[in-house]
Amino acid sequence: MDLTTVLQFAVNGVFISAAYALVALGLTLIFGVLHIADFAQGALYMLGAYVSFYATQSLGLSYFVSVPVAMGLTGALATLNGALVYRPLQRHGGALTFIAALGILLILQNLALWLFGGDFRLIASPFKDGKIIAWGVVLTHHQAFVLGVTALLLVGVWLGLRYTKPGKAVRAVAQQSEAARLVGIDSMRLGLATFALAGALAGGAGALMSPIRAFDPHIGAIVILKSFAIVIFGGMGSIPGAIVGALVVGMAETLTAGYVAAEFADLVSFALMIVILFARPQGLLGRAWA
Amino acid sequence: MVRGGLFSASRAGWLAALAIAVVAPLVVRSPAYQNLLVVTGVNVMLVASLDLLIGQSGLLSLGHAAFWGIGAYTSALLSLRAGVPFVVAMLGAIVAAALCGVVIGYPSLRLRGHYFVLVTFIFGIIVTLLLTSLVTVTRGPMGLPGIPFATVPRLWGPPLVLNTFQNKAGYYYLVLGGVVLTLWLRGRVVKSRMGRALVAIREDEDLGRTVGIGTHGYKVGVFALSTGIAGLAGSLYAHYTTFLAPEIFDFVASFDLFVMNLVGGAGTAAGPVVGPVLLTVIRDLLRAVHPVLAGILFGMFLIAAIAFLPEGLVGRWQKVLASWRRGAKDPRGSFVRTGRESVAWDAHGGEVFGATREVGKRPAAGQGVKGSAFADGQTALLEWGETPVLAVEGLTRNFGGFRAVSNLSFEVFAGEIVGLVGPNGAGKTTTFNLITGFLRPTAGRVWFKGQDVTGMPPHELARRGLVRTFQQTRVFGRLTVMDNLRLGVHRHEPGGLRRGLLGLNVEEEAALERRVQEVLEFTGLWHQRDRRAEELPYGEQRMLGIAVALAVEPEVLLLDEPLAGMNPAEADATMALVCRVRERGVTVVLIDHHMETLMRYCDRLIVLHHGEKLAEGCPADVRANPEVVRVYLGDEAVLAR
Repeated sequence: MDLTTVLQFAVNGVFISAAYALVALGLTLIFGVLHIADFAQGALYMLGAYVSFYATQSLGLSYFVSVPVAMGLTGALATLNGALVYRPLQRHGGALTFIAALGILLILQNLALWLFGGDFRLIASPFKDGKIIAWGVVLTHHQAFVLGVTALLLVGVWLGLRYTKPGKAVRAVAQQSEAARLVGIDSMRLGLATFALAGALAGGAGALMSPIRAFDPHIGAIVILKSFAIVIFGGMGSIPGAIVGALVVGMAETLTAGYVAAEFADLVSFALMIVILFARPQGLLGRAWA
Repeated sequence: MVRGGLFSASRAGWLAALAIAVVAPLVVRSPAYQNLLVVTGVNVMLVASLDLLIGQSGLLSLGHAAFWGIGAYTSALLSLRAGVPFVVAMLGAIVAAALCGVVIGYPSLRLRGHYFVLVTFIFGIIVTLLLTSLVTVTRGPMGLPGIPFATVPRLWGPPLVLNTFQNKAGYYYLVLGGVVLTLWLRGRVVKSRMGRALVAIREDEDLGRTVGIGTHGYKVGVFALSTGIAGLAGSLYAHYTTFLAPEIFDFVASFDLFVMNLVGGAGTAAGPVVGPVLLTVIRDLLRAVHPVLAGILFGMFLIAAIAFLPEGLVGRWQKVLASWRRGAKDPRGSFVRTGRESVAWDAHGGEVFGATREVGKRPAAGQGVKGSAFADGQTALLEWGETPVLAVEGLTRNFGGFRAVSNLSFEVFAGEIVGLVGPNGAGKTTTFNLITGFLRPTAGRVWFKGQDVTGMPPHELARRGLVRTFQQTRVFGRLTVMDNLRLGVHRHEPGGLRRGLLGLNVEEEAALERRVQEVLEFTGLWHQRDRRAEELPYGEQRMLGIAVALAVEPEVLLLDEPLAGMNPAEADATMALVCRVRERGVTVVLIDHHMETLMRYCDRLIVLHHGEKLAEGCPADVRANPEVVRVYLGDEAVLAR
C-alpha cells in the first residue's frame, strides 16, 4: 500500500465524516439537554437536501444561498417538532419520545415520497468538476468546500457553547440538569433552541452532501442510524465524542470499502459500535449514564 | 391479585377470543384476508414474546425483529440447503434465535439504563446488514425464494404438505397453534416464580437483589425465552411466504413490534393480542386506501396513541374498569396518614406475638437461638456471643480521590443489636453497600459466618442470610403488600420455571402464603395486605421495607436509617419491633442519626467519622468518649443527658 493511496483514503474518510459529524453533533446536543434520541433529525437531513435541490433547480437560486435557506427551514421545522410533539410528551419519558421521534421520521419520509417521488436526485454542484491534486491525492472543489463549511460550523458551535450565555446553559444542562434547573435555567426553552440548532446542522449537512451523494426520501433513515451509532460510539451527550466518533466511523467505512468490499462498509461501522458498547459502555469520551 | 369470579371471567374472555380465532378463516374466505389472519397470528406471537421483555421485565428491546429474522433464515436455509424436515428446521430456528439471544443478552444485561436498548437496536441493524451482505449464503438483497412448504407428519398416509398458495386456512391453524402455545407459555411464566422475579426486576432491580433474586440470570433467561419464541415465529413465517428478504426484518419491523406492544398495553394480559390485531388490520386498511398516505397516517396515529394512551388500550381499559368497581364508596387510597394508622401496626404486631420480654434486653449468653427468625428449623443453631457472625477487616473504599471508608474493622456477634452512628458523610451507608456487595471495596475483606464474602453479589449474600434495607423508602410500589412479601420469600420457593410450567407448585405456594401471612402479622401489616404499597402511609411503607427483608429470613439484618422521618412514638414502635426480631435470633446492625434512640436499644455502638472508626463499645462508654463528644458538638445536649 503506497502513501498516496493511504492519503487518498484519509481524505475520503474525513470527507464522509463531515456529514456524520454535523448530524451527530445535533443529536448529541439534543440528547444531552433533553434526553431524547431524536430520530426525526434524519428526516431533516433529507429535507435539507430537497430544499436545496428545488431552490437551485426550480427557483434558480444560487447553491450558496440554498444552503442557508435549507438550514433555516429545517431548523424551524425541528423547533416546531420540539414544541408540538416533544414538549407535550416530555413527561412520558425516553421510550415513548423515541417512538414519537420515529413517528415523525415516518411522517416526513412518506410526505417526501408523496410530494417529491421516490427517484434518486443529485444537486448540481456550482463547482462543476474542479479538483485539487496534491501529491497524487485528489480533492474535488466541492469536497473542499464541504470540509471548510463543516469546520466553520463545528468551530462556530464550539465557540458558541463555550462563550455565549445560552451555550453555557446548554452545557450546564447537559452536565447536570437538576442543578441547572435549580439555578433557574428553563430547560424546555433551551431545548427548543437546541432543536433549532440541531435541525439547522442536519439540514445543512443534507444540502452540503447532496451534490456528491445521491438521495431519495429514504436517505434520512440511513443517515440517522449512522449518526446515532456515532453518538453512542463517542458517548451520548459528548460533543467531542460526536466528532471523534464521526471520524472513526468515516475512516473505518472508507477503509472497509477500499480493502474489503463496499457492501461490508456499513457492517463494519455497526460492528464497531457493538464492540465499543461491550468494552466501554459509556462510549469513547462519554461519562457513565446508567 | 384478583381471583375467583374475575379469573373465570378472564378465562371466558380467552375462550371467546380463541373461538373467534378458530372460526375466522371459515367466515373470511378471501385469500387476502386469510393472509392477513396469518400475518396477524405471527405478529401476536412476536409481540407476546416481546412483552415478556418490555411489559413483564421492563427490558426495552428494539431488535426483536432481528431474532424473528434469524429464526426465519435459519429455518429456510436448513430446509433449502440441508433438506431437513420442517419440524427439525423449526427447532433449529428456535435454538439459533435463543442462542443469539444469550450471546447478546449475557454481556449486555449486566449493565443498566439505555444500554440494553442500544445493544438490541444495533444488533438488529447488524443482522439486517449481514443478511444483505452475505450474498453467497442468503442471496442478499435479491431475497431467498423457493422455501419449501411445511410438512406435517401424519399417523396415516404420507406427510401433509401445507401448500400456502392453495390453502391458507390450513396453515393459519398451524400458526394459531403457535399463538396458543406462546400465550400459554407466557401466562405460565408470568404466574411462576420466574414471573415474580421478572416483576421485581421491572419494579426495582436492586431491591430484588437484596431479597436474593439473581436478577442477571433471570434477565438472560427471559431474553432467551423471548428470542426463542421469536425464532419459532420466524420459522412459521418463512414456510408461509416461502420468500424472505432482509428488509422484512429491519429496524422498522422491530419498531413496529415495539409500538404494537405499547399500543396494546405493555405488561397486561390481553395487550399483546389487542395491539397486533388492531394495528395489523388498521395498517392493512390504510395501505389499501393509499400506500404513501398510509405511512403518514400511521405515523400520526402513533404519536396520537402515545400522547393520549401512554398505558396502552388494555391498560386504559383496566384503569376505567377499576375506577368503576371502586365507585364512590372506596375512593383511591388516601395518602394522608392518620394517627390511628401509624400506631396500628405496633398494637397489632404486639397482640399476635405477645412481646413479653422487656425491650432492649438481650437473651442470656449461651441460650440457643435459631439462626433465622422464620426458618422452619433447618438452620444450624448459633450461640450468642461466640464467633462473630459478621466481620469486616480493613475495609476501604475510594471514590476518585475521596476516601469514603478508610481501614474500617469491626465484628458483630450473633444476637446483637449494633448501631452504626456518625455524622452525615461519615461513610455509614457506603459501609453497608460494601458489606452487601453493592460496591466493591478498594481494600479489605468482609466475613460472614466465617466465610470470606468480599465482592459477592447482593442476591448471593441475601440467600446466605445477609439482608439489608435501604435508606430511602424502597418497596415494590405498584405491587400489593402481599405481592411485595411474595417477592421476599422468593428464594425459598422451590422449583422455578419447570415446575411453574407444569403447574406443580400448589403445595409450596400454600406454605409460602402461610409464611407471608406470618411476617405480615408480625409487622402488623396484615390488614393492609391487598393495598398497593405506594398507597400506604409513610410509616407503613417503611415497615413494609423491613417486612420484605424479614421474609427473606435473614440471619443478619442491616437496617439503613429505619427511623428516618419518624416521630419519637413511631421510632420507639419500630425499635420495639427490631427487638422482637432479635428475640427470634436475628442479628441486627442499624444506621441512624438518632443517637438517643440508638443508645437505648443497642447493645453496642460503632461511631464512624470521615470513614474511620472513632469509637466502639457499649452505649455508656461511647457516650463518655471525649472524641465522640467533640465530633458530635451539635448533639452535645443529647450526650450530656
